[in-house]
Amino acid sequence: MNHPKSEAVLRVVEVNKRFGGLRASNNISLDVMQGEFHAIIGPNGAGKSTFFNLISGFLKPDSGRIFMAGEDITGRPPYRLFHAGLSRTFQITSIFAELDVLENLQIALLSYHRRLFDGFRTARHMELAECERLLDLVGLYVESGRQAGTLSHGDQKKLELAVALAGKPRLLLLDEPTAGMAANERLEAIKTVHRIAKQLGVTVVFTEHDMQVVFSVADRISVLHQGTIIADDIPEAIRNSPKVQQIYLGETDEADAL
Amino acid sequence: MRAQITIGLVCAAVALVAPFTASEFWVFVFIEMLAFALYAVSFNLLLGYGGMLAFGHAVFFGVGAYAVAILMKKAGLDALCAILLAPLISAVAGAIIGYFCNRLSGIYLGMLTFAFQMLAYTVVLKSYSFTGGDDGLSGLKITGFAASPRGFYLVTLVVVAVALLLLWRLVHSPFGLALRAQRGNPNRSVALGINVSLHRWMTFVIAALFAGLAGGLFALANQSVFPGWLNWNATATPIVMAILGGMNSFFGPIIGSIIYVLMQTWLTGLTEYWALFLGTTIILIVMLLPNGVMSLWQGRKP
Amino acid sequence: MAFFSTFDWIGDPVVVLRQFMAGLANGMLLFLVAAGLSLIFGISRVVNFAHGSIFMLGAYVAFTIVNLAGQSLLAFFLALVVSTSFTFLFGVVFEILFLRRIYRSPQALQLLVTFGLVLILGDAVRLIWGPEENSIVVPPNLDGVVHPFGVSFPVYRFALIAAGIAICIGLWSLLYRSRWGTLVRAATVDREMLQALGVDVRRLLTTVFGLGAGLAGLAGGLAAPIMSIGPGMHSQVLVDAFVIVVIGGMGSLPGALIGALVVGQANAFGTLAFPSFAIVIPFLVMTVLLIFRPRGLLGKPE
Repeated sequence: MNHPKSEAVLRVVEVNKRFGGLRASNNISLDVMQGEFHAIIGPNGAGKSTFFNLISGFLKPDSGRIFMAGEDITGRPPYRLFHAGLSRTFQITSIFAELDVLENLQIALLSYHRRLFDGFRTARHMELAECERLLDLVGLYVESGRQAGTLSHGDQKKLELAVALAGKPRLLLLDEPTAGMAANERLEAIKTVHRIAKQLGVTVVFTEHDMQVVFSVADRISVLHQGTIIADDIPEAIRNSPKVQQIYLGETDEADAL
Repeated sequence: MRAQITIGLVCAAVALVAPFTASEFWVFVFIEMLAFALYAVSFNLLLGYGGMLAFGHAVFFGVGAYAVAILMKKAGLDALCAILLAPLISAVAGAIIGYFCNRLSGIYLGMLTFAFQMLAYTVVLKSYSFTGGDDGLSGLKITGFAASPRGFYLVTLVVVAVALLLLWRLVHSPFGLALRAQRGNPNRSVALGINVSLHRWMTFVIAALFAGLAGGLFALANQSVFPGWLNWNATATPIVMAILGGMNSFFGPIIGSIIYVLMQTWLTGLTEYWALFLGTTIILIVMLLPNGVMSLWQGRKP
Repeated sequence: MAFFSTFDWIGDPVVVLRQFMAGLANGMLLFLVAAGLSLIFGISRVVNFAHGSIFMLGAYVAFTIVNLAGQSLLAFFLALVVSTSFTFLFGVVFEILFLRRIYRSPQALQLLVTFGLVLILGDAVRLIWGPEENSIVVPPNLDGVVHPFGVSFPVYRFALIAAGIAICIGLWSLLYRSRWGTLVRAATVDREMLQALGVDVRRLLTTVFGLGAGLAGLAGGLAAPIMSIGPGMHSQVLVDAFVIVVIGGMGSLPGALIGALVVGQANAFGTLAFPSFAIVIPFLVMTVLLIFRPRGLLGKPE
């Protein structure tokens, strides 16, 4: 907590969440600074998804507070968080499969501009330039009239990123952004996201299993274990931390990568 | 595209010429088609576009019909005032029912709309002094241009055409896009700032309004209203029309309603056992042509 | 005041006891119907609108057998066996021919198929048996009257209660003590997983539907001596069954039992206490429940 409060884009203060007997989030406190590319790592079942759902409004914390750029967003529903500047992707790529690529982007943009209660004008020709710009930004070169569900997995992920960026977020949450990709694709993918984020000045928090990916781009790493944050530091420190190495013992690939 | 315009022009021509060449009986059938077309499209707003199977949708049609009848017979209003107010009353019903249905999805949403419909049915049945109970209300007198069947047909044609145009614009508008989005992926929708709850509720209100308008027009056409229009076997009507024509398009339900009314008219004249034929047709359509008649000349949905 | 409700009968224990027993008998019959509906929904998520019609079919078949085989007690048992077997087979065939192919289709289509069956069966019974109301007498040895606690009560109702309890126990052991039952309960929770484990879920779905239909047919046969057997007898039963599964929870058998007992009593006392508005009550209950506790008493949250 060396930085002044106003610089933290995301501030989580002592957040708790239980499911019956299970402590999914145990007194979590975390600060993420403006422009950071922040990784959340931890073994399976550590509570990464729960944490993401808590920040993005899909779950309400039992106790504790969450602030975004100084504003208390604890318990706010997801749709309001989008307009406050928070966007997210999902572990299982979540786009509008039945709509076409253009419509996927249009809806995000129209939502951002609060034009979704217009029941009269034709939506087909709205926001076309901005849609093009977003497709260009993420490097998605497909027919905009194509049904989104027919895109390849990698293209769907790009589309999801483009859609998330449509809301000009200040905080972008990426849930396992390289999930489902072949090992050689992952570095490329995360570097692209990293480049875009730095270019736009977006703060990113992402969860990841692949340590190579994490260490190649992360500014800071938080380690989650059984719902508790056991370390939160720069990558070098995490790499050399005996505590962290211990919890990864048994998960040889990841311990080796450390 | 050319085919669509041609079909459209042919339909328009038929629609305008019909009242002057057809017998009074058939004029009435055409009026019924118009009212039911609007009814079916309003239902498909919820089902096809919104992904909400509101199988108690008949309640809005019935409320609109009874509103017209009660306003005319008990409050002494004329037909014009009644038909202007009835959709609003129906919309209020939509607002109430939609509010409660909002938290529900899938089968529970459907069952709740059905429960409301049956509630309305039993209340109507028992409030003899207000609604005529079992007998319904009759003797709705229309005066002026619309008093003749042909006149009423033209009025209905204009009203339904305008209503359908408004609904067409709605489904192609940003609001319609949001509706289709939340149908496919509600989580992604809320994550993108869409107030799905509010959109769904508004869709209920709009669907109810237009169904009420359809019901009101039908009541005026019949010059009477009956509790059977709210009974549980009335729940199938909008669903059949939408599925018959194709729930994945705007025009599907319109085509479905035309076929439905034609079939009903033809069959009830032919045989006492027309339910048997309707039931068989329904099953055949579901098994053989689940995307409706529209799927015969359409690759995928628009 | 008497228009809305009368409660003078509360003081009279004879009336109360008699109504209670009648409600119990009615409840047992309704349980048989609702249990089938609930089981079918639990395993396939299909709301079988035709369930009341199958009940009706069972009653008509029993009527025919009794007319052919005479009025003896043996004939009546034969009628029950035939009713149950016939409706079981009917259910199996219907499931295989139609429902099986549309489990993956939108719910609206599934609903319509069962609705189509309602229409077909409604006319089919009129075609085969004629439109008039029929009846059979209570079989001999069961047609007397007993006087427990000084209240006169038909023996047949006791027989119904006893039969209901026996079937309840049978169903319970089938569902909780047999391998088939365990599979059915597992399929209610997660059908896909069960399929992945190598279980023939398709056959399970068929037998459950058959069982549900058979139960409804059995109920119809049992109801034949005390109900008027006509083409309209399916609707009240269906509606009652719906209310029961909403109260008890869709897919829950114990819930169906509780719901059936409640509705049975409500039917018995409802007409006493609220003579004019009795028919509104079940839908009021259904609406309130769906708003505040859609999963009913024992249903699983969706």
